[in-house]
Amino acid sequence: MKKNWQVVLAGEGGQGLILAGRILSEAAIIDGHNVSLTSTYGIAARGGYSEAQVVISEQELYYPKCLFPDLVLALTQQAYDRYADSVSNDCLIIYDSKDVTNGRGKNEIGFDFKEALLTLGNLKVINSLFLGVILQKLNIVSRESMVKALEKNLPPKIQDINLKAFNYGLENQ
Amino acid sequence: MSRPEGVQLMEGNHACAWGAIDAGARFYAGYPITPSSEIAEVCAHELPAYGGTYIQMEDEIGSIAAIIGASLSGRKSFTATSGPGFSLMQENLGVGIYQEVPCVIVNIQRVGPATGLATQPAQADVMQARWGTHGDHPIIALSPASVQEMYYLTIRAFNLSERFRIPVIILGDQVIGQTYENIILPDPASLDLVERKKPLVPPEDFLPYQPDENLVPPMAAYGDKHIVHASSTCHCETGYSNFKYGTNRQLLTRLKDKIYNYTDEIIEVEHFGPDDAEVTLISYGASSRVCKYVVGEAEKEGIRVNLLRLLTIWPFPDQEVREALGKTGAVVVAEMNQGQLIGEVNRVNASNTPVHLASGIDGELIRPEIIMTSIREAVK
Repeated sequence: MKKNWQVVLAGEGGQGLILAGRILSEAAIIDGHNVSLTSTYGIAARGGYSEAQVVISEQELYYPKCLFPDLVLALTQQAYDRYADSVSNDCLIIYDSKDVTNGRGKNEIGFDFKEALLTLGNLKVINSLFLGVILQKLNIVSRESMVKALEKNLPPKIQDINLKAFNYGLENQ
Repeated sequence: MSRPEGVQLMEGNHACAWGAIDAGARFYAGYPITPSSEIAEVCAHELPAYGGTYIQMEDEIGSIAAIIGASLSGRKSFTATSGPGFSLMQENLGVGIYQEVPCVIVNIQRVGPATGLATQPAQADVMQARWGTHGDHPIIALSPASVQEMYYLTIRAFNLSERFRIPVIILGDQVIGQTYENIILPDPASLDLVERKKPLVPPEDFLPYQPDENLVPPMAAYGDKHIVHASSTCHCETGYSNFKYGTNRQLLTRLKDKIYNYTDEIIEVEHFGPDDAEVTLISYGASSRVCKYVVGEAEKEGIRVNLLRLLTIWPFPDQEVREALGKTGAVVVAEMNQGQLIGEVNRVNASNTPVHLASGIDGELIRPEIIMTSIREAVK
């Protein structure tokens, strides 16, 4: 593993971004790494800009935020615009191809989250889905640890559908 | 929620609440305010299971009054707030200091003044913690820089408050309060906890404000056989008001000396980076961990930088800072305000070392570039 991974999960309130940041962070801890998770959110329960930043490192973490992201997930145009121009070309951007237009055209992947959710038959599992998509592109935590962290953070009755969404994201690109 | 075991992902505010519970705190009264509310949340959920009490108060004036009363009744007590609530607590903070009440006040700082940039991080209540309540007085304030340190400094805050019979302030900030990091909670049985001294004399001989050899009066609780009277007016050893010439001088002197004669028990600093450096950073709390990052960044530019990190802010570590000033070419003080602790650094600057400020007042964790700019300025 390289020294330090920085992942930004950005979108709007209600998409489970901060929970996903938590799941990713706990998976990294299970793998034996140091993590820091910070979040930005508005006062509304749904809607409004929301993001989670996760830094994963084998060393002590001094700076807890993402200065040089390796990956940005942008589920809304606002989220995309916030990062597209400021991150380096080495940073992979995964964006929602239904919501985001004017892609920067380099090192980025559009993913149709809406269509995948319709296939899965559940619109609420977007965070498990994008965690799968991210893990497929960036090998930052082990699949087993991610599954453990998903199970730890979700009530039993919605675990199956979330694991299905996670695996779908991991396998369908 | 039960007490988390093993390596955990935990928020700083949760670590603070668990530190308090493990330190033996069994009374919390507060008025929730972002970015400190999770401390109240954990206490509301957990304290009853430990035989403790959680009260949501009508405001912060009532909150600090309640914890003073609970502590005088024998419970380890605390409250948590942010800037606006800390302002409301100032009057009774003085009461706690004057009546020598052990208690802990957690201030998870956010941008002010007034509602400010709710609820973004700042470190601008440093002088308020020192001098916010009126009158001459000492205070103890600690500043954590990580989630794990939040846990340990909370325990330390309770220990110091019990040892010295004084309110202790934890000056956290939104970054440390609401960041999630790895933490390991130790076995509570392994912790060294300090309890207030109880009176050894028979009740009829007891004077509630008669100090022991360490200048701290042994403390009976309301309801004990030893009768306690606590007054917010100038008082003598009986605890009753006394306006005779000399009483106030005697009381204020003892309150100061019981802290300042024992600073070696209170002051804690960390030295980070090379021993000899062109520039020494002095910082605390969230800013100080950015400084650790900057030490490495400066090295890439060929500048030797080290850091003196202050875990204790008040009493100010005069000696440690004076030594650091004497050993370096220049100092950069990094803090998320317009320059508060830098005044103390200048106060002890006997060597006339150039002192620069790296000031983060943008409502976010201070950016490394702000500190780097001050370092480049310092070596020019």
